[in-house]
Formats: sequence, structure tokens, C-alpha cells
Amino acid sequence: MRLRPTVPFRAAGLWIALAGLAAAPAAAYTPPAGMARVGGGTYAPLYRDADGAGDVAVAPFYLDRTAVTNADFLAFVRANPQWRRSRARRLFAEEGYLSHWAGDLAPGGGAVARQPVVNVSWFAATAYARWRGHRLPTVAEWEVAAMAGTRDADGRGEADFDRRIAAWYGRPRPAVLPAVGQTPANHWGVRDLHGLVFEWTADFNSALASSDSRRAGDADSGAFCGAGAVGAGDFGDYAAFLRSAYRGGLRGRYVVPNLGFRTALDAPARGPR
Amino acid sequence: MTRTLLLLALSTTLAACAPGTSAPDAPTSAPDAPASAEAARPPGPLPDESVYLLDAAWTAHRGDALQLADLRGEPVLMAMVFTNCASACPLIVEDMKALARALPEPDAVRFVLVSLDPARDTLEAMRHFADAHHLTDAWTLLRGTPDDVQMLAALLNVRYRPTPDGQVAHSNLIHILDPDGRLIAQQEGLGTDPAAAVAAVEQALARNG
Repeated sequence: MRLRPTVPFRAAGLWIALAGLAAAPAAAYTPPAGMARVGGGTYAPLYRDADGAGDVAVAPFYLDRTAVTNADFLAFVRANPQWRRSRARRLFAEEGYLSHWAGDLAPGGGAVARQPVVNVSWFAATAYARWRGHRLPTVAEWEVAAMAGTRDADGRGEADFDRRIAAWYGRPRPAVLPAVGQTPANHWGVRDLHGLVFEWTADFNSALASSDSRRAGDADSGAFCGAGAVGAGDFGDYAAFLRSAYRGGLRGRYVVPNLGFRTALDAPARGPR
Repeated sequence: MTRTLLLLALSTTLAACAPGTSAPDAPTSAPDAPASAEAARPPGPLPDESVYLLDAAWTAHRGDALQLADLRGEPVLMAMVFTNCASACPLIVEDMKALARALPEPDAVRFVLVSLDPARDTLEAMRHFADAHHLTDAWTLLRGTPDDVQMLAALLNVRYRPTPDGQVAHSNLIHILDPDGRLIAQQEGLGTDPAAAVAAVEQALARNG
């Protein structure tokens, strides 16, 4: 489809990939600048299918260390005029798109260069990621990355892990967002997955809870094909529920003052066969 | 402006639904009325809210290439399904037929099914589905790339994900698009009485009349 911007990053990516095949394997395992390698893992979704299955295996991938900033997004709208505030189609970005900017090419007012960009729709975030030759992370990838503590790949055992996240959710959104990269790096070297803004995911619309009811039950079963699928497997992770409910309320064209994004890339599998 | 366009498109719908009218007359009351007296397909740029702005390449089950904008000119009932669907999808097809029957002029409506499972919904599988359900020429089954399917689902607020047993869990929604591709109503659920969706179309008319 041609929402895709015109800058030939994809072609460049191909050559880099070909060069990577020819070069020493170690080079291929080095993440692109600004990205960290997340070693993969297992995402246990909040919903469970009737047979109890449902864990999603996540392959290693590269993830931006920090969220996309106003400065990053400015470069994108400079190169892709159709995504400027005054030009973006309302179909793909509702009223309020980049409303915190002073103008089409002027993050300003309250929007500082190093702040995460917010008030962007899923369509805009997807177009940005493609312009970079990247993609948005899936829910499973995002949650696996966000599961990491500062020490371990699964930080949920760390004493203050849940408490720190819950404390952030409990604080009102600051009038001026902080710059990216100020929260501690997690096990993978990724920052701000908790504590700054919510983030778009590629398949944000994969949670099959209706707008009226977010629990399993007969009330929903007529609305979805494969309807046994709604129903939580783990009631312990309150923060994950909150994120899931947040995603469940979104539509692709929505823009929200505390919703940004970061990009991802497939990573080569590591290690000799 | 938006209101004007919606009204315009709906008048076109009505014109198309008027008995014995094969080519709708161009509405002339609105200042932006396209001069479409001779053409069944409204000319001019698509309105800003048209789903048909999604610039993606699809393949129809009969093998022809298609852009959504090619659907322009008639009201469309659209659903995103997959043909391997054991339970809900055949029911959606029946619901679409029932919904069309409840509209003023059922024969003016086109039906479009878009596959949520393009990997397995080959053209052959879609043709088999069309035969098995006795779908007429008014029906078009579409296959696209996973990225384009995801884009369209996001536009129509369809939620879906693969399940471990190889099915695709998805919203059961029938989308009603006006002749310019604007989403004017949605019917949710299975076996739903189409009266509410028909009323939504009429309300949209009343709001703009």
C-alpha cells in the first residue's frame, strides 16, 4: 500500500542486509544505532483460549532504546508532507493530530525536541516506522521487552518492579512531558517502557474485548468469531491489564496526549547451528 | 462541507435505490455536486472520510486486480472474515443477505468479503467458499497483503488475532459503506435484527436532511 512515504530507506536496508550476509556473522548481531537486541521470550496473553493454550513465542528482535521524539518525527514530516499536521487525512489521524506542536514544522510551545512525540495516530506511527525501514513492535514483543527488570529478563520477581510501574500509573500526567531516556535501562538496555508514555503496537487491535465489557462471558460471545477466546489467564498482572484495556479502547485514527511509540526490526537468530 | 458531502452521497444512494433507475441522476442542490449526470460512478476526489482512500492492491476471487476505489458508485456491505471459519463466517454471509433484503433496494447493494487470513485464503479457497454459499455476481471476495489487511481492519475498527487452533478470532461486524466509501453504519454480532442498522442509515439521512 502507498501510505508508505517515498524515502528509499528500504532499498538501503536491503543493501545493508546483503552486506551483513557477506560480513562476519558477529556484525549482523549488532543492533542498528539507537536500538537494543531483545532476546525474545514467551508472552502469556491475558486472554486464554478454551483449550488453555495461548502462550506466544517471541523471536529475538531489535527495539528502539527510547521512544520516537518530537525531533525524530519532525524529520519524518519534513520528508513526507502528507503527514504534516495541516495535511494529514482525518481518516488516518483524527482532529488533534500533533496538536501540541506550534505549527506544521515547528514542535514548539510545550513540545521539546527530546520529548517523546505524542498525539500521533497508529497510521502515522506505522508510516514513520516504514519510512525508517522498520515496523511497530507487536503486543507480544512489547510486553516481552517490558517484562524485563533492570537486572533480569523477567523482572517480575524483582522486589520493586510492580510497585514502580503502579506508582507511575498512579501519578497524573505531567503538564510537560520529560525527555526520553531518563528512566533506568532494563535488562536489554531499553528505557521508558514504563514511566513515560503509553505506546502504539502493530496489533493493538488484537484484543477481542468489546467496548462495553472487557471480560469473558456470554454477553460477548455473539460479537466475535472464536468467541471462547476472551478471558484472562493471569489476574496477577494488574499493569498488563491496564495496558490491555487501554489498547482495547483505541482506534487506528485516534491521537492521545500520553500515547507515543517506538519502532522494531526483526533480528537475526544468534549462535552457530 | 463534510455534512454536504455526506448528504450528497446519501442522496446518490437513494437515487441508486429508486425503482427503475439504473444510473442515478446527479443531485444538483449542493454547491459541490459532482457533474455526474452521464456517469454511474461519481467523479472527483474521494471525500476525506472515505475508506476507499486506502491505497492498496487487492485481488478478487475471480482473479482480477482491484483497488477499493473501484467499488465506488454503489452502497457496499463489507465484512472481514476468513473462509476456513467453522462457525461465525457462514452466519455473517447470511446476515449480510438479510441486511440487504431490509434495505429499500436490495439489488443496488454490492457485497464484499475481505480475508483476514490471506496466507490460507487462496483464490481457489475463496472461489470454493463463494460456490459453497451460492454467492452471486454481486459478491466480491478480496485478498490482500497482511499489511494492507491490517490497515483496513484498523480503518473499520475490526479486532482480530490468530488462535492456536488455526482459526482467526475476529469481530463480527458488517460495515455499511455509502457509494463514496464512507462508513455510515455497522451491525455487530450474529443473527442481529437488521432493523437497527437500517435505522442508522435512515438516521444519518435525517441528520443531514
